[in-house]
Amino acid sequence: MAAGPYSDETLWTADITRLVIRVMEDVNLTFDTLSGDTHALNFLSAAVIQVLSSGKETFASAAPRVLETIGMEESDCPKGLIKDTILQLDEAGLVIPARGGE
Amino acid sequence: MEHFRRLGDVPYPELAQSLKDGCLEMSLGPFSKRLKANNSQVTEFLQDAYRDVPVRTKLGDITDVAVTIKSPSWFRQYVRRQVVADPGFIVPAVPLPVRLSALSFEMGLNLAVALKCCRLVSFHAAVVGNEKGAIFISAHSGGGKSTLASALMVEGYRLFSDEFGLLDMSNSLLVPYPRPVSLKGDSINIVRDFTGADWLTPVLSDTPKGDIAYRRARPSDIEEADKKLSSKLIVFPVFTKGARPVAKELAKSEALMRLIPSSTNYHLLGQGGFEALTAMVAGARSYEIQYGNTDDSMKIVKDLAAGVGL
Repeated sequence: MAAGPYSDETLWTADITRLVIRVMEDVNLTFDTLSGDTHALNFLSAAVIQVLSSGKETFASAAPRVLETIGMEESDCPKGLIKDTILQLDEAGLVIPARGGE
Repeated sequence: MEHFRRLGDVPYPELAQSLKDGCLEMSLGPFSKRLKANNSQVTEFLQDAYRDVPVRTKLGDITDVAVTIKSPSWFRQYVRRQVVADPGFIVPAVPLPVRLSALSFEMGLNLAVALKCCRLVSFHAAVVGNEKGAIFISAHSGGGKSTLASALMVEGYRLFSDEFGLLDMSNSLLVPYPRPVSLKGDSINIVRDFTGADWLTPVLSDTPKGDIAYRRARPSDIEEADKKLSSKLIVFPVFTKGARPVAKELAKSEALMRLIPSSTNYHLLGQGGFEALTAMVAGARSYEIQYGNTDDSMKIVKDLAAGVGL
């Protein structure tokens, strides 16, 4: 799941400037210029990266912003799914915990 | 400076001496190669499988790759003779009996191109094309890409490449590299039946990959090796003996993610490789085809090709 230890208070961030994103059909093909890896991201993952690249967020604070970005209600996209998505993106190296909870 | 000549026009003694001296320069597609071998089997294989390829017997320029076929040790020059391909850098290479020198040469040349090519995105694929565009065939070894490429050649498509799909990063066009088509096992007889025996080299038996023969590129394939094309159709053939023929269209993202693991250098090329691959996939339709015999795969691919205007 996650690449390292985390808690509900962990702040997460993303650096979208290192990503090259090409939308193909409904998939965000994302090239990470730092790792050289290519990822096929769905709309939720892409929205999480977009939100975390504009500010550091916990799971709880990221959720409403992600829902606003994708235009969905929590009933359609539970907070647990957003948390799982952040952890999967952490494992892929596309989001990282902000140092020292800054 | 010596001009390039058709390899088949070079007298055997001159060719053998040039190879022995490590001075044979071969120009094919995007690569020039310096070849060295003191080995009559390599000389005879080149005269047969590469007879229409331009060469010069005295080095006239710096080459992209250099391949030497040599004995793995002094001892193996004389006792149970073996050869190994030296692509000019350290890489594990299996010594083969001297009777398989042609296979050693082909493997060595594949290795040199796959690992030293940094100007083009290189994929393990076969590519054929006509004036309207190219068909990119991506399959694991044994997936039938060489048989399918050979069959499409009979239908009038020109051979771009068998082991390599080469993508130009500057314009996302596929680059021809018409080396002989490598045929294994049952595909040798299948291809011999529809091309005629004249187009195939003698069979190398009991190699580590089973029986192998090579289908020579036609002179027209070699003459047009500077004409690049965009990919219009990408197919991922899956051979299952006796299977009913089925074609399933793939999402572009899935096609792209399938192609990445088949590249030998994608991870070395960075953003340029990503951009070129994305553009190639965006401009083509992609299908996985399952089939049980060559006739079925041909019918499917011809239908799909017609559907994209090829």
